[in-house]
Amino acid sequence: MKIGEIVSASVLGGLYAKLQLENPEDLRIAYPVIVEGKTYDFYCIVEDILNEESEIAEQLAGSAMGNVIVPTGETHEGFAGPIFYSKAKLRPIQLIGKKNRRLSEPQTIPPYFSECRHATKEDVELIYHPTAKSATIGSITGVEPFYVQLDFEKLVEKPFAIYGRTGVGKSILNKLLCCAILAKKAGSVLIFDMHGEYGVYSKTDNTEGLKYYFPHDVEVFSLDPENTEARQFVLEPEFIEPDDLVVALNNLSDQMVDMIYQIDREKGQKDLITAIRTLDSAHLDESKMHPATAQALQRRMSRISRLPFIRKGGGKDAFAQLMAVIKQGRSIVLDFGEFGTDSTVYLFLANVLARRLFEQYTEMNEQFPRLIVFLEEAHRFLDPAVASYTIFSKLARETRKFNLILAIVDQRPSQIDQEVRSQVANRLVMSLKEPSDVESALAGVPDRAMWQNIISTIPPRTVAVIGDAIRIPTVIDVMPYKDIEVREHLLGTGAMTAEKTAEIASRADEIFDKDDGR
Amino acid sequence: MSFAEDMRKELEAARTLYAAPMAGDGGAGLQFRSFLEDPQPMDMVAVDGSYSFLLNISSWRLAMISVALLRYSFAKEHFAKKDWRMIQRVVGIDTYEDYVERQGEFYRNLYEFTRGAKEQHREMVNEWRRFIEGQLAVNVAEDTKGCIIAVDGALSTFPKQFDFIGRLVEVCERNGHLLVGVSKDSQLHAFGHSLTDEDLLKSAEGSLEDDALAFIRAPEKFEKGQRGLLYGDVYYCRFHPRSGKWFRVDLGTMKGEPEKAFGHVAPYCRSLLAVGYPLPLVEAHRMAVTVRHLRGAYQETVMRLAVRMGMNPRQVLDGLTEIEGRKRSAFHEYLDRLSRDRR
Repeated sequence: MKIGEIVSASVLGGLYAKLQLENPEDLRIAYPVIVEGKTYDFYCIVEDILNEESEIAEQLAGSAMGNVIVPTGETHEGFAGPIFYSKAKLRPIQLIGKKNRRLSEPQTIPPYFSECRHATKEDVELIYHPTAKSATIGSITGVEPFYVQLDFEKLVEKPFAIYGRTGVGKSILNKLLCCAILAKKAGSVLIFDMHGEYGVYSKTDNTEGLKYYFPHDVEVFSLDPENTEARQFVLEPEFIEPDDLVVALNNLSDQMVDMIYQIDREKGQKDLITAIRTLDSAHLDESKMHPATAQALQRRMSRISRLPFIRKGGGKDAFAQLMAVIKQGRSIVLDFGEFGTDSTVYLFLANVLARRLFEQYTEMNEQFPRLIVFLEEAHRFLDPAVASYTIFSKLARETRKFNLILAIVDQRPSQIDQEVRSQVANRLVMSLKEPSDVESALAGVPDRAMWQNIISTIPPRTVAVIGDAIRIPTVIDVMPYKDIEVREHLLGTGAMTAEKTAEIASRADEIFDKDDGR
Repeated sequence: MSFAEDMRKELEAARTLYAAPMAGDGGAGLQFRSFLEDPQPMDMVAVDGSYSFLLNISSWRLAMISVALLRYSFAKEHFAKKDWRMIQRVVGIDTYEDYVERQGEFYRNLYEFTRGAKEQHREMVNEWRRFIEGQLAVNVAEDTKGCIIAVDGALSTFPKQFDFIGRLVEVCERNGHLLVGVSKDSQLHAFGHSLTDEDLLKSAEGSLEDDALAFIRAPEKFEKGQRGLLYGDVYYCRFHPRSGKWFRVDLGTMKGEPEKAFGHVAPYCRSLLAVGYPLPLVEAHRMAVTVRHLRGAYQETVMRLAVRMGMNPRQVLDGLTEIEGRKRSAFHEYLDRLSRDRR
């Protein structure tokens, strides 16, 4: 359907279309639009929609008159379309050769009056070619219905980030990404499952978890001794290092931080936790450690000292088991159980595990398959103030060559160290409102101004994917995380229909027959 | 005497002469009649034209005339465009008598009809435009039935030899059309008041009910005294209660039933864009004046063509004109620019 004509154009500045829609609300930011040039179809996305300033409109607005008809696209047909028309700013993303249908970069502009229309499924099919390891996470916005393919092999080659404010659907997107990574065998994942969402069933909404869809490929560890369906996670205290405590115990004073390192140097055979706990503040060398600081540190440490999963395990340190699972190419969900709301525990454990993973992967890289570590609340590890104490900035910078890939999940990208952000090869950006976050999420992206507009206005459950995992930057309506969708689009097994149930039933009979025959 | 005293004196004269009559007194003798909107108005065919001068070499000028025709229907609060036509003609105009003598009969009549006008070249193009408008209206009136044919301006025409309005009235009668000529602005004093008719009627409309649609016929002696051939009965109409002004409307057909006739026109006058004036005429005007907006493009064509034909490029460049035919390079244009820039 024709929606307008081009009235101005610039390679650098984009195209402007005079719209012929009765109602501009029929068009939205980020919709794909085709501008039909002479040699090329210009595949564009809507960057802005505007009603330009008009002296006449200003004069007429507010006129309180009965029995008059307000000029809109629905009431007035002017000699050349609507009298008061809207315009759309379009950003060409790809050119499609009219004759050969080949794609190329937009280095030219269409002639005046070139027709604009909504992109069709056929148009977008030309752009998004499936690959061996591609899968979908949703359909392209404004096209009915076209499921966009992301190349998951490329996505997990390098660090990537998922940004979005609270409540816009980051968790759903996370789950879909994990499912797709596992379904396409692009790597295995390590999830710090704070709220029990990734095991067999989600404790928050009862949807199916990773373990449900991939029972043999996913191992669940739990901090909760009551959880009998998962392996117990036990952390030997001797593996805890000063950096782990500095990160976990937020806002330690400089004196406390210095003291932790001092104690670590002098702890002898003791582990660090025990060394701090048993420190005798009455007999300290005050030139090195102040008693008041020591007492304060011990008070802050008491929470960590009491954590039940930090204990001498008699060789049962869960990390060795974890590494064994990883070596098999399987994924890990670390269920936090009752500690899910304790951010100190999360910060502490994530840092300890990541540091040890980093050591293992850098030392014995060839033994390990690709592992993607999903790091939620990433800014708490990657804030410039603490980034130097955590392993994650190193992980973002250095580990792509070691097969250990960081997936940053965060709502405050502006609080993530700029150097870490710059390592991100693919960004999946959901709605952000804070201008500094929008700017940071899109740092280094071509056409940043356009994307800033889009990110500030896209609705929840919509994500802009920018990077080499997708042919062109694309705004995607994230599909619902439902069994039927996951099966249909990610697992490729389709929905469970009556026919399929009957088929499975008949096969079950066959299996039982065979068994009986043995 | 200071300029302030001059000003006071002139304002005093105007205050006395042009005092607006109060409702109920100044309007005394004005016989307003009210009418109602027809709920199912006929389609309206609106015709309007415009022109732009492009080139001036000596006393010869090149102009482009553009005439637009639009057909609208009105139903359910929707002005729907159903058809359109556009005519563009390029004409050469010179008031130098030797030139005139070498032209055809139409041109010579046009020249005679406008002789004595202050800027005769403009007047000639204007009449030429009206002629084309009339021809186009006649053609469409022939092809259609039962419409409102709305033309811009009075239903009068120049020389009898080119009596297009007479033909238009005939065709409209035959095909059941309602023919109206609506004047955008009228500076007449048909009612014999010092105020123009439009101002007089506006100031006297207080005697009408708030929501009334109304009209009044111009005095008979005025109609008789009109220049040229006048084909319509002359009325002034308020097509919408909130209309900013009364429009002169010449009624060419349905002369015996003005209430019914204006009832068909009124629904088209409900657009907020131009309350009280028919929207199709607004659009026909907007379409026609594109000739002015696109003057630059037409002048480019003139230059290319003229140079290709061997004309002196300097002469052509110097001869490019403003819309009304003034050379852009004319000295007073420079003085105007200088005055604006250095004020």
